[in-house]
Amino acid sequence: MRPSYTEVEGRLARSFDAFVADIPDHPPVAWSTFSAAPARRNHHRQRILGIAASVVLIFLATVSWASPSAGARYHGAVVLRATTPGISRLDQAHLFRNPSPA
Amino acid sequence: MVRDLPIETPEIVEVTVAAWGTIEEIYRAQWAPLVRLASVLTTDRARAEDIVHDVFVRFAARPLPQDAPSYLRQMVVNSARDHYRRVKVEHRFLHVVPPSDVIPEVDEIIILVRRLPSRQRQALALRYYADLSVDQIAELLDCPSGTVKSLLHRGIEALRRELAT
Repeated sequence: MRPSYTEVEGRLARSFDAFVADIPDHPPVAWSTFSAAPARRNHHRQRILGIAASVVLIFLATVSWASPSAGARYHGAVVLRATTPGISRLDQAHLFRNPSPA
Repeated sequence: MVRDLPIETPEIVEVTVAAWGTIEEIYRAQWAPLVRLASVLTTDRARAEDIVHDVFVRFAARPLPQDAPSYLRQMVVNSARDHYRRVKVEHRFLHVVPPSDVIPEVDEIIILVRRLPSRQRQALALRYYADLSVDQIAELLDCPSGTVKSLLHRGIEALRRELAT
């Protein structure tokens, strides 16, 4: 037999109430235990520091790779003069990007 | 307490502590009603607690509104709606086992409510659990009052049909 409209409404309200009856009135832990905001801020700061450190390291690595040391430049100049007769010092300076050629 | 927090400027400390104190109070007062509402909307206790926690995390990151309880209720209803969308996708691709925390004596109605379309389910929960008026439900669900009346009527009629069989 089909229940009446009001009967279904009543059963529905009772079922919903019973379904949530065992939920406690207070949260199991305090909100402060999550400490989301300070943790997020610290994490943010750490991330910025990490990115800055990476940028500095990449810059140093690029500079050291792009500019050979004085010893390497001298060795390069000697090899160049030996293998390329007649090369001017100006050309060497240009090749090695050295303002005061050996 | 102010000095313990790892924040640089005193102005920010004052604002943050005041806000966190208020959120702590709101969390304590509103957690249970919101979890109950989310449980009824989703008929899934674990999901309801997740929804309420996510809502509070988002709420804590925003400026405090004038009417925090209503604002939180709206956030929970919106999150429950997102939950339905996710569940729809889950059901399309996965074999999902229904949650086991259903109380035996309310099984029948709750199971029947679960089978209803999500909009009808939400309207029924807001009307018969939260005791909201048709206009309030319309505002929460962002639809006309006539649509809410129709959703409620169709939902109750569907339950009547199912209970008769």
